[in-house]
Amino acid sequence: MNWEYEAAWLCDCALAVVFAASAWGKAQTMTDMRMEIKAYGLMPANLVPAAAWAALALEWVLAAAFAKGGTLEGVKEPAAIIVLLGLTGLSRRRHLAANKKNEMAGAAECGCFGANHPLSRRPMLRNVLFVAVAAAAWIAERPAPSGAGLAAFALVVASTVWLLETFKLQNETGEWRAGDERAPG
Amino acid sequence: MNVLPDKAIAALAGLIAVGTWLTYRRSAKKRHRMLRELFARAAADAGFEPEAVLVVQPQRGEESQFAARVREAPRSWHIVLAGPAWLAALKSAAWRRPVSGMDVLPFGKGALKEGTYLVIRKRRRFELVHELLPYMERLGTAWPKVGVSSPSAAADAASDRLLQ
Repeated sequence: MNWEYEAAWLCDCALAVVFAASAWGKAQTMTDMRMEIKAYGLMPANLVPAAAWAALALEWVLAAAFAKGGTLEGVKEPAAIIVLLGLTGLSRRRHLAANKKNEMAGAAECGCFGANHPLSRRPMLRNVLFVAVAAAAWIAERPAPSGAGLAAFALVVASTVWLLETFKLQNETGEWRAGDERAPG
Repeated sequence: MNVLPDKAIAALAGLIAVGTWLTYRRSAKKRHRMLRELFARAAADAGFEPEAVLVVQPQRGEESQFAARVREAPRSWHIVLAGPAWLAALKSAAWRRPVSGMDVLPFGKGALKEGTYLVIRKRRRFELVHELLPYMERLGTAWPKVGVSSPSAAADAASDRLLQ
């Protein structure tokens, strides 16, 4: 077993999950995503819908590239770092603006994965962590998985994305806290 | 050396993926049922089928940011306040809009009973909007298109009746 290969695949898997989960969440809450882009105040309102679709497409492409292992090596990692740093800057800017106005909404969490998503918490720390993972994936070398290995890799990514979405839904409906509501006896 | 061949690992990953997908669908259906119940209760209070339901949690004070805009919101929306009827009556007078008070929202102990957000009915699914301030600022413009096909006569009549 080559530990460098294993570590590199783990990094690819983590990055595929983060971009796929983000794209999945955004695809279901496109209105929220547009409003968040509008709230950044960086572009005219009529360009916001197109920007939202472009951001969504970019995230799906990055997710697919990381899920496919050896595809776009040396390109996808710096692209992921740029996207993550860009999002960190925007989140930070909005956070500071919200604090300045003494507003509560949108300040503590980002809507990158949709509200109530487990990965929406602590956006700064999360992005720094994934920038480090992308940098490690850039350095590490590994052979691209093929055939059944590639299928297994993609299925692991998909399962993790659905699992995170399930946590989000159960958090919203109180499903995992339902046991507390049952009356004794 | 691999303990399992790649095909066995792929088959195992497939089984796990199917299990995770089914769990996800089950939770999604549960949330859909709860949102449908919210709309049913809102429709019973409002006297018409609302296009969107604005859920307001007064304890968090978030509505103060967009309170001025609530009056301009489409009349096809219905506002649900997570609180007692007397507080809903106070808000109704302040906003000049019908407001229903619901002590218990149909979300058990979930996070949806805690926030202020808009639920939009889109054919067979629901979309939640948490970015209310920019959303309210966009009302009446090219996008979003919520409220374009309304208000209906039923919504107007119900609104007038509740405000009398």
